[in-house]
Amino acid sequence: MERVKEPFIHITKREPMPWWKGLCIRVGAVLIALIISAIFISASSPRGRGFFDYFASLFSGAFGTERRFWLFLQNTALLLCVALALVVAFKLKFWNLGGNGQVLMGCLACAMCMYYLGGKWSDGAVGLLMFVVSVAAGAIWAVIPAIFKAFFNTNESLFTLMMNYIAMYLVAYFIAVWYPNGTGAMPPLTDANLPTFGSGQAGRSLPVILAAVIVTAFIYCYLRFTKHGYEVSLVGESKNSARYAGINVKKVIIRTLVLSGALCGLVGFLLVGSVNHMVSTSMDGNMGFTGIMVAWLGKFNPLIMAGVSLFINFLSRGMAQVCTDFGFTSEALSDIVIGLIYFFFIGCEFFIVYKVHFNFRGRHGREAPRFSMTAEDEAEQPSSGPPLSEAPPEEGTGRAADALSTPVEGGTVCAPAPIGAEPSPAEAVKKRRRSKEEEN
Amino acid sequence: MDENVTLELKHISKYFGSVAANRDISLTLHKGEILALLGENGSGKTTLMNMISGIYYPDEGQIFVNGQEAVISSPQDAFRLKIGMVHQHFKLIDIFTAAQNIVLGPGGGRYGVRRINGQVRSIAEKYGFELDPAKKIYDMSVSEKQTVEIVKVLYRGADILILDEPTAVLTPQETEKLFAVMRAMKADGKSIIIITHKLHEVMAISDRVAVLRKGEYIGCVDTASTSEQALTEMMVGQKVELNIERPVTEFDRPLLEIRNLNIKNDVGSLAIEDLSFFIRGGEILGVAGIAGCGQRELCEAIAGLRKVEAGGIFHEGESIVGLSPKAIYDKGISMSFIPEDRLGMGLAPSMSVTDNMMLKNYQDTRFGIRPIPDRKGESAFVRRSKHALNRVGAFVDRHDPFVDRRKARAEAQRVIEELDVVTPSAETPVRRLSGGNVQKVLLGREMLTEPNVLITAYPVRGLDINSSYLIYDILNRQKKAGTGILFIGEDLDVMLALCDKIMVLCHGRMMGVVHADRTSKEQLGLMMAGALDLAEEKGKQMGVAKDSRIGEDQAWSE
Repeated sequence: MERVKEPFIHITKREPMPWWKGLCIRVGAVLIALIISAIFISASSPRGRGFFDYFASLFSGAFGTERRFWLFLQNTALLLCVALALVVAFKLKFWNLGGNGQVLMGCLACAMCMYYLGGKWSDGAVGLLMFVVSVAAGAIWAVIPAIFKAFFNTNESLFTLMMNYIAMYLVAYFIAVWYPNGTGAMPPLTDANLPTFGSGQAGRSLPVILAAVIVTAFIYCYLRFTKHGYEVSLVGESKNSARYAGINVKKVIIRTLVLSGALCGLVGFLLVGSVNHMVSTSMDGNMGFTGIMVAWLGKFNPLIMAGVSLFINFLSRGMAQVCTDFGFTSEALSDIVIGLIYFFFIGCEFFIVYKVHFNFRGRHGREAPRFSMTAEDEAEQPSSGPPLSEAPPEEGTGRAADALSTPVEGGTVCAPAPIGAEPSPAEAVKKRRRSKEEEN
Repeated sequence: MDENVTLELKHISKYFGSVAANRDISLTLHKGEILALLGENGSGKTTLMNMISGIYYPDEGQIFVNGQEAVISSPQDAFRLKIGMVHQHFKLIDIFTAAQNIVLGPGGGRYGVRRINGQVRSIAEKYGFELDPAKKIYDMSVSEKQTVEIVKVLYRGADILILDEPTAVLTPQETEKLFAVMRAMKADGKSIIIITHKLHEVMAISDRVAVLRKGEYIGCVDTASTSEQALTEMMVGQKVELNIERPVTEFDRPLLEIRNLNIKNDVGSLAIEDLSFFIRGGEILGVAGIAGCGQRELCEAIAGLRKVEAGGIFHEGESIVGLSPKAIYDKGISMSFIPEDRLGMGLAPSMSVTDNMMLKNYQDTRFGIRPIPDRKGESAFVRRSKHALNRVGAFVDRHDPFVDRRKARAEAQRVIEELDVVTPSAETPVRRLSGGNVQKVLLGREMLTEPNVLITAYPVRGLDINSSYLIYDILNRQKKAGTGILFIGEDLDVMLALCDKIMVLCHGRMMGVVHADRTSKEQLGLMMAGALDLAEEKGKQMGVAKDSRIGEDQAWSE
């Protein structure tokens, strides 16, 4: 009879663990990711900054000065608002990927009011109009795909995604019309700015933060305690059950997306009216996509989502500071590190839900089938190919691979490391080998 | 090792999270025998078979095939070991012919239509299958498709066949045919494991019976030396009374009347054709038919979820065609619907028991604003402004934006207590409950609204025996209270015992309505297959009540 190989990795589902245990794993994953990124960054810093400087810079980026602190809170507030707007749609299983476009349309509508009416009407009247028009613009941008979804069952992901581009080029068009100097940039408008609480960054940020607090409370109550919220979860859960309960599914889809888009429009209003006083094609700051991550990591719970957006903003602001302090001129490095931390943060979810068994000896004391990616294999591979140091001198990447390989052994403590980090050096070797062959 | 043993399982276990689907199961299968694997839903029969056919991998234990240890980590491995499984849900390609489906899969070689048709035909003849190799799958009935699945497994040279609930989709006559084929295969030296939970079939076909209960192996007995009662006790773990009560009630006037109803299915062909019947208060009308004969469409149409092409549905003489589900519900027609995917309609699986309680009445919350009463001696102006104010008040009152979870929680608590729902709390998502408890939640919610017509589709599908009997009991209680019940069922034995009358559907057409105490399973089987048409014999008048509440003008204006 034929001998059949036994599976080496055997994955089973875990019992649900208590929330504090899950929290510990997540915090642990983030800590390990931070340590790894610290090693990686400090090893490759052109200025020779050390391991602990990394953490100092990280925190000073977010909390270093009063101004940074308020900016940190303000960005968090904006991101949270977008994420909340998306969550309303996600609860419906309507995958709204058009957050960017909806925010931009809000921005554009707001800027139009300021540009055309600023100085002509009283600031109060323009401000009110700005609010109404921005919210309406965002809502319209979301409700178009919703109508198509409700009546023709079109794919909402693609539709909302495409709407982003239309919004972006509309903004570019209007900037070009208003300021036809060819730079595509717009100077801040001085009329019809939203009121602030005194001077200084705190006063400028407070209205935004306040708005986010109100929106969070509203969405929390809306989803939890209202009939509308109940209908949204029911339609998302099962359209058939919703119809059975006598719900008009089309109406719920459209109504919910109006709310989702309106909240995005509100963010646009805050961005232009309160924060920037001008509009640009990248004003959305990609929050429409970062918001998706906030929503999922926050398990669609507005309160957890607030925590997640704090964390994400802490990372991005802190990492920007790290890049400055450590003398990296490229944004790419900070993106890589943030990506690494996200990877750990999201990857640990797998290990919260599943348990992985490794079958080292075979079940019945037979000899284990050799697993191709053991440490010895990896050690052998480079010796047969060109050694790492002879690789083409690509700035940074060679060292990056070195730095990555160091934490692999330590990384086995935290589960994501073996899966994510292990193949990368080997793959790097393979790639180089391939490129060598091509040269020859 | 006994030469005669072809498959042996030793201490097999499989866990899903903390749930043991199979725990320490040891089982042997002899050459040329039919082994029935008996157990209630959720007892781990299918999980165990999936491990033998390579879909799951056991967490613990060993499998021996013909005396040698085998590791089956994929269906290919099972195929190499000559193990074939016929799944409950067929895996066939609709636009291919039977023969094309059969030769599809492992093994290359030249392909010739005539050659493969000949091969398939010879296998079919050998075991007595009725199969046309050139027929396309989409032209086939369910039993023909099943035949294709079995021949496919035989074509691949399987010596061990596993049939997962093969009789669930067959009429009694088709079941007999299948059994004849199984006996022929057995005579040819094949070993067969048949999964089922129908006891009389176990008694009819098997040589030995292995019983599982809650993932554990209870024992294996020779069929010849056991009885249905003994097997039930092994299955359930306690003594069970196998009699279904049929209380005698005073039949009321017709509550729900259906006249000349035509309904289309999802693909646009007629699912229900010219159907007329009625339900009286205090009776249970059973609907028998092979799966997919328009039962689902009929239920949906009555509940207002599906468009009625032609004909009328009357509740107490009033037409309800074209009304919204909500409006129909408010009239007192209630539907508990368990379609193929259990939680697909009627319940929201991720929501808690409490939230599911308010599925239909969540809109009923009010602020509780009372209108200002009129007083004597008021001027007309004061009175008019009061009325205007009251109208505004009533409008606001209707638009209370909040749901009332406190009331729903109380209802959930009541259902949990009255129907003995086993759940950690009222806040547990219903998908975490077992099938029987899910069904109790659904039925309990419907009972609370005190409907006078209750439509239940497959109310005991997937329930264990105890839960099933509890559901029959609940239905009988409702019947005694004067509710008219439409019972769409699949087990003819149960329907013969429980229902007052049985209506048989075949491809959306009514074959007749018979009194349950004056018919037999054979007669019902013939009607289900379309071979016996009582409606035709007795003429068009069948299904129209003599004391109909539908006025003449109303009935024919539809």
